[in-house]
Amino acid sequence: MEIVIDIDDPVPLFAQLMDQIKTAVLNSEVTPGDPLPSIRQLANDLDLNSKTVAKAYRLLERDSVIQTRGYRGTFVHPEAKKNSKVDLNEWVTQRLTEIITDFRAAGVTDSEIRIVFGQLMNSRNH
Amino acid sequence: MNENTLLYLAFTSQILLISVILPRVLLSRVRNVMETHPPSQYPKLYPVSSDVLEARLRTYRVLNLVAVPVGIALLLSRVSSANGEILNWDDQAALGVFAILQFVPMILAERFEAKYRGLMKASNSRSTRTAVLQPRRLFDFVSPTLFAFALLTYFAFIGLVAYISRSPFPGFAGSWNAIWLTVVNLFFVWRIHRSMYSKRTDPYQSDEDRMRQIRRSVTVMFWVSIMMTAFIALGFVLAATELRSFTAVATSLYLQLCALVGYFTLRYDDVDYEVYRADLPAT
Repeated sequence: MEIVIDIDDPVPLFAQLMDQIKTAVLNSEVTPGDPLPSIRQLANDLDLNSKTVAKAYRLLERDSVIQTRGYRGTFVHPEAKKNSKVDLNEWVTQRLTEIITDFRAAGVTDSEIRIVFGQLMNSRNH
Repeated sequence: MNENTLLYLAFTSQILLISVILPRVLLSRVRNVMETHPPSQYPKLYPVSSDVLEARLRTYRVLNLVAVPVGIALLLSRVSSANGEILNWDDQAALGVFAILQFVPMILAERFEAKYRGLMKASNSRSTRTAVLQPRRLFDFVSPTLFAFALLTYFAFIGLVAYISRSPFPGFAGSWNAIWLTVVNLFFVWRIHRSMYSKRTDPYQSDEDRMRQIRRSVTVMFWVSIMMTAFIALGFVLAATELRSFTAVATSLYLQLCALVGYFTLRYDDVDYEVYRADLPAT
């Protein structure tokens, strides 16, 4: 299974990497339990900063597409196929749309929603 | 056949093999690639002009030939020597120093190759990069048998050092040999790790070629480690059995074997040259 990264593509490099690994899982080019290259190996092969690959791996691990087993390395998650179908962006958009609709129905203005949302996000960052 | 005749034969063979035969084989391999894969059809293979490449090949040839008269002079000095030493110096040391001179063109060629690959990388205008989604493991490149053999050789050597230490012969360096060998083997471990995981030096190289190249260099490092251990152990045996005078012959043969193994990695006949072809104009 070959990964192809286009550095001129406007899609961020870590996102390209995530998409390709998810596609490989969905096309059964890699199956649950298959070992994956280390962050350093993939970063060197693709001539990328290892932080970029680490970010992609971290997010894939969060999405339960891959799993790290200590010193033994990184493997495809047993539920990877199911989890690769989840579009986090779509899910967040859908949930936020539902909440915003509820707020509007309750009479909360958009600027009030924006202020509270901004405050919550800021307080989480601190 | 006495030890002197053996030494003359080994030394002559060392001069011919390392400075004449192997460089000629390498030059003919490179020229063959240049003829069958010309710059007009395979521009990505030539980040420098053919003239620059030809000049480098000439320098390599001349530097190798320079070692020949030096070797012959050393050989003649040994033949005519009254005390049976090259330039009144220890035979083994003289052979080693001469071998360094013989390896200089190869070291310079490797430096040029590194620069050449750097230029290839700089001239690469492709925006896409590829990688195989598979981890590289040591046993993808070396058989468990060879690995076990190398390990066994190393531990057998440590055992031999421990055994001789109980009743050492004059000049036995004892544990220093074991320490030195361990350090060199650790250097090989580092080199093997580097060749397996370092950045791609040739941006166009196919994944199959890269795997083959790694396999070849890892195998060579394993063999060099085994040969080096065997060579030092042989030196002990020769010294312990009062055959120290054959050490120079063994050194010469060992150096020739190292050169042969080194040249084994420099093969160009199984490379996928299609990756270096000119890109088709966009329609």
